[in-house]
Order: sequence, then C-alpha cells, then structure tokens
Amino acid sequence: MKEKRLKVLLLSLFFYVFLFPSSLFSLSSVEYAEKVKLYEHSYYKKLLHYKNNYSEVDSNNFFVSKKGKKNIKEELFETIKSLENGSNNVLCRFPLRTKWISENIKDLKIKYYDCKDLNIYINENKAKYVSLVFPNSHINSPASMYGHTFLIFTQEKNQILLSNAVNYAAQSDEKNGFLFAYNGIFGNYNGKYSMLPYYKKIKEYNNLEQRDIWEYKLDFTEEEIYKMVLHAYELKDSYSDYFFFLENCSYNVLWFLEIARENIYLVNEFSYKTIPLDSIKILKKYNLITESKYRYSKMKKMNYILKKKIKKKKDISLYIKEDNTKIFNNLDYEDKVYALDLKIEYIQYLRSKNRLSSKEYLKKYLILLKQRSKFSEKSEYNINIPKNPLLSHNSSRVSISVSTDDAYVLEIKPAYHNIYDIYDGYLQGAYIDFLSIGIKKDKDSIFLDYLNLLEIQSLSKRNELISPLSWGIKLAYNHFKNQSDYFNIKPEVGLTYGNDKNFVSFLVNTDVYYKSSNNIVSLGGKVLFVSNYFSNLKLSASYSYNRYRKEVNNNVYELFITKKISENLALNLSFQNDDLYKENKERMKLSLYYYF
Amino acid sequence: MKKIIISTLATLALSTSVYANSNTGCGLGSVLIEDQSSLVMQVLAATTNGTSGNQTFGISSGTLNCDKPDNMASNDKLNTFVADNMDSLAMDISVGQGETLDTLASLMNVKNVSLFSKKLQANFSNIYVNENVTSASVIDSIVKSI
Repeated sequence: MKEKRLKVLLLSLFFYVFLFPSSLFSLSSVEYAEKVKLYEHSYYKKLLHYKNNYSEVDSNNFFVSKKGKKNIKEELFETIKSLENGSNNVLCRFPLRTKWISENIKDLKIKYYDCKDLNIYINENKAKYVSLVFPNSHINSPASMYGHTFLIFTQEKNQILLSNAVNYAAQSDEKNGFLFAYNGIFGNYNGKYSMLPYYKKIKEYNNLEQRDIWEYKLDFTEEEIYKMVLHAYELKDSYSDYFFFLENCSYNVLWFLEIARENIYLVNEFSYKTIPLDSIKILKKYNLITESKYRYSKMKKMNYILKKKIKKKKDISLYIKEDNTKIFNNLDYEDKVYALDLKIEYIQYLRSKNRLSSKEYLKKYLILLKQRSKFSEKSEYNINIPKNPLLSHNSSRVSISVSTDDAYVLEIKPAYHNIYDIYDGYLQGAYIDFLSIGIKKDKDSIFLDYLNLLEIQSLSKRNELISPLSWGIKLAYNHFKNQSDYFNIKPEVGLTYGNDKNFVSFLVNTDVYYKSSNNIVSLGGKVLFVSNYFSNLKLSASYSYNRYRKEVNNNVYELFITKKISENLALNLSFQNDDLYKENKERMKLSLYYYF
Repeated sequence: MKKIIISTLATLALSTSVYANSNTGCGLGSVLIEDQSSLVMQVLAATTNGTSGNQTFGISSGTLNCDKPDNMASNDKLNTFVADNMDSLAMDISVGQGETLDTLASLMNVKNVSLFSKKLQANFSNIYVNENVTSASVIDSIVKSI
C-alpha cells in the first residue's frame, strides 16, 4: 500500500516536472517580483504616480488591477500576469511600464501582439528635445496671474512650432465663478492631459491672451525623452482630481521629469502649493535648464513698434484705428513699413477681441498684407527681453519690520507678489497676494495686525491703441487706524499710464470697514507712482484721499524704496504720513524680506 | 468666510475674458477669439493656475476637411501646418520673414530660406488671390512660385 502511494507520488512528480519545468527549477515572474520586492522599487512607484502609499491618478484605466490605486503589489502582479497571457491590453496601453518590468525581470515571457495606435503615436513623437514652457501672467487676466506650465517635445531644432505640447488642465466648462473656485480648490474637477501642436498653444497665449512665453530647454537625453513620450501615452485617457493649489498643471508636469530620470525627485518638494514659477526654479537645483528662450506677445510687439519704431507718432493712431490714408501717405518710407506692420497686428488683435466680424477682418487683413508685400524691407524688431523669471524671487515671503512707533511686525504671505516686491521676472503692475498675515508687537502686547484674504491689483497701462481699465480688490480682516478690528473690503478702479519701467495710476475707491456693531465707509482716490528704472531697486510714491461720514477727511502719503540684496532677499524702507492716526502720524518702517 | 469673499466679488460686474475657442478651417480667418466671461469668474480663477477647456489628446494626423493640394511633394504634415496657420503664414509671406514661414521652408526642405521668402513675398497677390483661398491652393501656388 505504501509502495503504491509512493509510486503515484513519484509518477505525478515526474509528470509535473516534465510539464512545468520552470516552476520547480526557477521562480515564476510573479514569484520573482515578490522575492525581490520589485513593487517597492522607487521608480515603479513613480511610474504609477504613487505618493504616500497611493496613486494620485484617480481613474481606473490607469491601472491594470482594480485595486491598483492603493495596492501597488497587486497592481504589479496583475500587470506581469497580463503581459504573460496577453490580457488587458497592457502591452499597448502601458509601454513604459512594460519596458521597465521587462528590463527588471529577465525571464519575463511577454506575449507580443501588434499595437497599431501606439506605433503611430511613437512615430509622430520622435523627439530629440524637450522644453518646459511657461506662459507668463497677463495683466488684465487674473486667471492667469500665476502663469502656467506645460512640456513640448521637439523633433527638429528649426521646427519648434511643430513640437507636440503635453498639457495638463482641469476639465470644466463652468461659467459660474463661485462653483469654479469651489470645485477647483476642493478637487472636484478632473485634471486631464492633452497633446496638441505647440503652434496652437502659442496662438492661445501670445496672440489671444497677450502673454509672453518662456521656453526652457531641458537637459535630457533622447532616451530619457522617449520615456516621457511613452509615459504621456500611458496617461492619455486617465484623469486625476485637479487641485488648484497643489496637484495642478505645474505639479503634474514634474512627474514627467521624475520619470525621465530615476534619481530626480521633484513632486515631494511641494507639499501644499505648486506655483508654476517655483516649479521652474526648482529645476535649477538639478541643473536641468540648458537654455532660456523668450517669445513675446503680440501686444509687446505692437507697443514696441508704436513707441520705439515709428518716428512720426503724431496722429498715427488715426491711421491705425480709423484707416485715415492721408496720414499714411504723409509718412516716410520706413514709417510706412512700421505703420503697416502695426496695423496688421492690430487688425488681428481686434478680431481676437471679436470687435471685427470675420468678413470685415478678412477684407482688411488681406488688403493690408497685399500692401505690405509691396515693401520688400524686412523689419528689424529687437524687442527688449525682460528679466528671466528664473531670477525672480520665490513666491512665499516672510518679513520682519521695525518701525518708529516702537513696533515690530512679523508678516507671512504664502503667495505671490505685491507692489513692494522687486519685480524681476514678474509682470509689472500685476499684484496678487493670498492669505497674508501680520502679527504685531508693540510696547504692551502681541496681537494680530491684519489678515489679508485676497488682494489683487491689475494696473494695466493704456496707450493710443488699447485702453484697459486698472482695478483692484482687497478683502481683509483689519484694524481701522490702530483702533478697532473690522472686516475690510476695498474695491478700486482707475487708469494707468507709463512705459516699460515706470507707471502712474489714478484710482478711485471705496473703503469699507464692517462689523456687526458699526461700520465705516469712505469714498476716495489715489495717485500712485512706481518706478523700476534702476535695476535692483524699486521706488514708489503715492497720495490717497478718503472722505468718511461726518466730514472726516483722511490724507495718506507714502514713499517707499525696496532694494534687492539677492534673489530671495530684499530690504524695504518706507515712510508714511496718515493724518487719522491718533498718535505717530508719521512713521518710518524698515523691513527685511526673505522669500522661500 | 469663503462665502463672504465670493459674494463680495460677485458685486463686481466688469467684463473681460480668459478662455479661447478654436475654430480652425482650411481657409483664412481662423483667428482665436476670446469668450467673454465675467471678472468675477476671473478673480476667482486667479486663485488657480490651470487653464480650462476640453482639449483632446490628438496628435497631428492630416487635414480632415480640407482639399488636398495637387502637388505630389506635399505631405500630411505640411498640409496640416498650412491649414492650421493660414493667417500667420499670410502675414509672414507679406512681410518677408517669420517663424511660420521658416517652419514651412524647413518642411519643404528649402535650403535658401531668404530667397524663398523673397520670391513668396513678391508673389503674395498670386498666392492669396482673395479671401476664399484655401490651404490646398496656397500650397500649390507656393510650389509654383519657387
């Protein structure tokens, strides 16, 4: 009986070994992966956008296993099994994962089949270069005040326009501002990746929104770029919850760079907010930026021709805006060329603003182009390149100040840029601060000086051709002239004139201090002058007048100077005279700004 | 607190714009036009930094609705590029220089870009005969001009 049992056992063992030799003498791919704990590999975690034990990608189609978002081990095993038995289309859906797994499991037997779409895609994206693109903010479009970033993959150096742009954006058609902000802040929108020709993005930013674009060429090899291209394909149908502050466009671009090179770690540098500028500057740390290229907006070009090129400026706007041909005929040859160049751009601008119908636009545009083609002169436009945003201050600031009324103030502002900051790399006249707080210590106590919820100023310059309004809004919890605390709202609107370096604004405002027991309302105005004439130095002077009830008048004069010490360090000295303060009507304040 | 911010902002009723719509065709006149949206929307969006819109993951793959040029030397990439950039190309040709024109020259393997630009500029009125010119005819005229 015992013998028989032994025989059966030996026989079955023989058949088993004969039929499945690998299972006895070597491990299966899954077993191997388990043994070496491949799923714990940091690069595999990057491939799945894992941070703190779960993936930031929220759609199921980014994973092979249903539990893939939270269980990386099971995800890997499912992926391996699928590759071996040709299921779940893993081979065609996740080319980079496939590549990495097969490089790390030598004995992996992949069941190959044809991936038509993937092959077309790879063929269309044989990139040699990759750049990070930063459309800077546009002054009269607060939605863009923080800027935006995306990647472009370029095949040929002289065909940058044909690069493919990979862009991550929230998917929303929401027109209701309240819902848009709420959903955006709390991650209720899906963020999705898109790929489109770069020239379309240029039209969107340079031509339509009048935003300058910076292109930062990155130091990656073709092999590393290929990884990014494959990864973009893996992400194409997936989505992640879009969070305006952290998991936004700029944050998600960083994943690509991490995936391109194993020893780059970027996303962990950002824990509560990802400001596009910060996400670019962080690349300096890894020496990833090899070249910066500036692409000016159409508006910059128009202003340049108008201010710097046309000699006979008088009445030129009559020709540009009203087709006064007599003025054109009286111009000299050079000015005629410039005037035509300007008018061509202006007509396009009007169309983009929908102030010309398609028919009118086409007719005018073609007539002008025909006229211009008769002048064989090439126009030389050496438009001033502004300070590279790479040299700008970081977006958060902490400052300590001491003033002549024996008070010390500690201020923290998490983002972004206000009138006192050195403007290098930022946009002149565009100010936005969010959730800044001031804590004050005077002779007797320490107390909350102010809490600014939101402060925006958009001081956009007017000229002969365009006439934007300047405006501002401030929402704060604030004291009224050192007396009592209120909720403070201050909207303002006005006009701004100036040039590249200096401007002056005329604003009218109402200043409302509110609390349940009483409120204080005033009407007033302000004249503000700001100069960036000297490098590393900002000068400003302002006078404001507000009239309160019961014939109370308030005059405030302010002068300040900010001196840049280094990229992230500045010194500010200000003088203020405010006739409504009970004591210390005049005060000097010295502050040290540190940006982080 | 959020409600206070929002409702305050809602009292501002100025109007400017953020978002773009795209309307590309085969002819001239496809300039991006901005949609009007309220300042409220913008101020709120100012706390954000994403752009919106439903962009697809479309890689350039041929001009869907446009006629094909007669010239055999043309290819999908060239056709798409010209169709998508009709207005900027017209501008570049008329002024005799520009990145769109350079890119076209590169796509057509033109060696002497300066001469190419000059010839096209001189021929502008033949290339852009009228407002109804299509990308296919522009390509054909360009090939004839050089």
